[in-house]
Amino acid sequence: MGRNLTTILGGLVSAVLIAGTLQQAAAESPSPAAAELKGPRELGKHVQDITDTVLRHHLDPPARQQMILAGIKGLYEAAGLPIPAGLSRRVSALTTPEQFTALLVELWPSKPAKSIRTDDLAEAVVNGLLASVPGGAEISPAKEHEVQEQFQGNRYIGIHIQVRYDDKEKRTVIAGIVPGGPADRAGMKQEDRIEQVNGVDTKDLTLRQVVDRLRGADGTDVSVTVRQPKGEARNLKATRGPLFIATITGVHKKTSGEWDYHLAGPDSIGYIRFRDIAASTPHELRKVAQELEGENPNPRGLIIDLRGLSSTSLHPTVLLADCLLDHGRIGQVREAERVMAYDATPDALFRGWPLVALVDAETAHTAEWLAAALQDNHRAVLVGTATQSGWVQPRQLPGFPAAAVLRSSVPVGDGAWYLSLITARLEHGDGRPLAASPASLNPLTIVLRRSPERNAREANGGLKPDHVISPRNARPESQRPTRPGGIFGAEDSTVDPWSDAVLAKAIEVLRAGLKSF
Amino acid sequence: MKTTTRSTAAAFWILLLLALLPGRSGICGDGTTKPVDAKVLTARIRRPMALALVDGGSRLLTANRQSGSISVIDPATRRVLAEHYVGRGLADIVALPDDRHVLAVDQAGHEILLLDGHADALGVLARVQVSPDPVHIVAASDGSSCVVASRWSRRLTFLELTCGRSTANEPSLKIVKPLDLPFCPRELAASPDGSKLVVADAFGGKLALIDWRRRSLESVRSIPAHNIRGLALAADGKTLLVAHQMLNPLARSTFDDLHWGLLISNHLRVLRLDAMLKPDADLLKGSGLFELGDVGKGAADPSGLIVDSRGHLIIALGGVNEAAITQGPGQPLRRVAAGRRPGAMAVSRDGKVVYIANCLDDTVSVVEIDSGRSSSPIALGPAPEMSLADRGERFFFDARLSHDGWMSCHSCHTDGHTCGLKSDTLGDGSYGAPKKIPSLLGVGTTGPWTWTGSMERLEDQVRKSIQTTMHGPKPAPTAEQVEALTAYLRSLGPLPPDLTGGERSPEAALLRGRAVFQARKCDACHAPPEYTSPERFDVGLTDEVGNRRFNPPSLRGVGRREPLLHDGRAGTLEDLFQRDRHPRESVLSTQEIGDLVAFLRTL
Repeated sequence: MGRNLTTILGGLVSAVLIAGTLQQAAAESPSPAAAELKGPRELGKHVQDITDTVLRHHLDPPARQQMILAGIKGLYEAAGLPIPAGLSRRVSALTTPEQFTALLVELWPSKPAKSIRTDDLAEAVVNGLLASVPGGAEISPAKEHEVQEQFQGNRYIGIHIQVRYDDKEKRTVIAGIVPGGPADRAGMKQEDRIEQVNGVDTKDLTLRQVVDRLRGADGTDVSVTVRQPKGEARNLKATRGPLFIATITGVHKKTSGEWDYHLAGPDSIGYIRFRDIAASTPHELRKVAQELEGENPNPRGLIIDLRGLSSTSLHPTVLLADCLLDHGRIGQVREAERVMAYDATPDALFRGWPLVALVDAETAHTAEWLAAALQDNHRAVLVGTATQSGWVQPRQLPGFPAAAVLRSSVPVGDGAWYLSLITARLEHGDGRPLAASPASLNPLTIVLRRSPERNAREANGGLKPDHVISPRNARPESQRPTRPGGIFGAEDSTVDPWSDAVLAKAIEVLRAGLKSF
Repeated sequence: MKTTTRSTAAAFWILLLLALLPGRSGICGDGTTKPVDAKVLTARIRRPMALALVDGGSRLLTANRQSGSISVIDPATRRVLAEHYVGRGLADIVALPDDRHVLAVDQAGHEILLLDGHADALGVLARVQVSPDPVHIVAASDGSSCVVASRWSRRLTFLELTCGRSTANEPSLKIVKPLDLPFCPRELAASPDGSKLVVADAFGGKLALIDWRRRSLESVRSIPAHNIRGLALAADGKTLLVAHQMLNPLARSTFDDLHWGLLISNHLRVLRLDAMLKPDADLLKGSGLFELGDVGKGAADPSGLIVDSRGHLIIALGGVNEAAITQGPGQPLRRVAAGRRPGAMAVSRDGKVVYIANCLDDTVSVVEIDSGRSSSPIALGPAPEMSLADRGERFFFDARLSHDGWMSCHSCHTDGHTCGLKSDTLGDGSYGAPKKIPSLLGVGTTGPWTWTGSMERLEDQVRKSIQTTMHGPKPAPTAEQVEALTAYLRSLGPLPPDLTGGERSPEAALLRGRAVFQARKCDACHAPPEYTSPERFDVGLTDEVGNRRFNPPSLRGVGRREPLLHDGRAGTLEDLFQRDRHPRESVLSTQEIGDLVAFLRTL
């Protein structure tokens, strides 16, 4: 799921984390990675399962011993103890899970230098191990994975609120409400303090625990007691339901609430912007196509805005590319031991229409792969700045190009946990990696957000637009002007050729093409 | 082959009943039929497959597949006046321009019947044997000729008529020419001037253009479609309307893909007739594709399409027991309730109502086109107690077994066979390796099931398909649903032998082909009589997720199971040996391949 939906939809948790209560949330709720682990023996099995998963699914996995060594080092760092002598040699000699568990039991710090709980020691092992995985890896319980799947399906089940944690009051607070959603209909209001959920006082509950209690199956009820800062307590009941957020938007919203996909001007040109690529996106595109293709006269060209879009959902991207391509190879995905090639099926939406796709340095991962497919198959002209081929950058800059990679969530062991890790490299249809030269992934990665000029200068890979706009003139997505319009009444970008050099160029390109079309 | 077997059984019972029951109709020696009076209609399954209005619209006839009968309805009183047992299993009926004579297709009896429908007599004037499994008929607008599509025979038959016109002489019906097709035909539509004919694939998305006057095949093209169950000219005479389904091989049978209409979808496609008539034109250019369903409200199994004189389109939605009415392509759709598995339709002469034959509950719905209001349906006769397999048949065609009504079993396993496409389901245990959808004809005797042979019990596979592909009733389908569906599947006989195959190849070639089959030990995996075996074999193929061992599919009717192999990589039997060198890089001479293929086509 792209960062747009995860920050908006995932607001139930992530908005709060972004808001700065991360430390508190982490301190109050046990780490998901180690919450149910009792000691080194059980941890041994867990570590075995995690390393098995990394070895099976990672694009370029480290050796098991390397991961185990990093885990034990993490354990000793957390315990404030020196790394035991000869540890590397001993770990290198391990050949069976039993040997590893025995070693873990033997090395388990009986007297840590500082006061630390067993849970936290176990977490340190897992975190140390995960940090050694190239590109990083995150572990989460299956329940959390289910929620992520709901996000990806664009059918998040909840009461459609955004929450934050108030440090002073020690209460979870409603920070945003989707108009017309279950919470809104039930009478909940912004700034309501959630005092009880299904009769349970939230005073001693962490944000995550409150969110867990608010969540549930589609169609089920949740009773909530809320109170405005100086108001009376209100007992309300909301029925959980799916939340849909449009992943495709247009030029502006009409008074009816629907999007208008027409750019103003002498030529009728359609404009759509992908806010994300989720399971619903191909369906949404079909709806837009049905509307625009059914008009008489219909728009003579279409601009597809992929700027600022960093999607990691491969499957919906494949289906979306298939919607736009009449034939030809969409692209390849290279895993450690196999290569998958995706071919478009016959027929396409906007068949025969001239298309322009807008890209920038933030068009990343599968969104960049989609742009490559449109360009490679001569389906769309690309306008904008060079793409960045992924945001994962090795620390040893400069001169170490990044590769466009795919991050997936895969089950660990019996499926009680899920691991998010880099599983594949995204390639053009002919097998070229999206980056100019494929890089090995460095274990220690950071996400860089730099000036567009520097991004463009240092970009070693990425797609070269057919019409390159100077980064100086092409404001990155994050710096584009905004206006109200999001689901929580949040801000939304404007579409305005006067202030958007890339869009202006796209219109120019389309108009020139239309004359000869 | 389900239809034939069940219809044959039905025909047996009909004949037995004819002997036992006084007062029942019979096919008399002189070719006329004696009708059953409406008062003594017996309890039986009928399965109305087609409708025709005659006598100025004062009589509505239904062609019944299971009972082999024609029910005569008075639309004014909405009563069944009589029932005529004229054949073994009827699939189609069409009124001729004189408004008196009708042509009926006896699918089970492989015959075309010419009947005189005057004054409810419905006498059989002529019977002509055509290629096996005739399913549809279209008559020329001047009543001088007709064309019949024989599905399993992959053949059209051109016939000449002398009684369709009011000035006709002696009634007669004779075959002029058979024409072989490269696919199994079903729906037929004639061009406005009657010079051309479009023939649609019974399972996949092929469309053939036929020159009716020359009786020749002009072109065969494919559109991204399957289950084409509606083919008609639009009122403007410039576009061809096609009701069909689409299955995306790139999609997966996940809840999300089904929910958002990405796995399977139900459509009305509008093709430009001028592009259709030009063999080298891009058929999709300038075409339109319209969704019949929407998220939250699937429109499974378009099963019939009719255009009224005012240009309204009415599309039967067999899987969800509804019909959709619209003023034209792209216009808003109004969905109205019908009976179980609505299909064939007829519009009253005054253009006010549409009659809809509900195949699986033996009724005819009457719906006002403008208002969408329907009155209580007309029952064709008393219904008997249903067997377990009969109940299973209802489930098989019921999209309520799927999330939001997007699909029924039939949506992929068309009429128990296959739509011929690939789908990425959990049938092989994982996503990532789409597999050819298998035919279910004869499935009861070809275990274990799935391409990887992982399912030992057919019931388990039925349950799994409903849960993981159709995302049906939660938490699981009922035991009754699974048992009934399994009983229905077990009632489906294998594909019938290709009776026309013998005509196409000399006996010597078939004998040589059999010898190659034996010498090459094909029967080690494909052992008679079902030409399969319960083991899994590595035949040198690996799918995208690493599966190497597959359960051999039955070769019964293999000539109509194309494309072949687990991923459908072999488009034809010839490709299978020439290009794919099945099995394990086998090298056969051209002569051997020709003989072997000829032999296989007769299985």
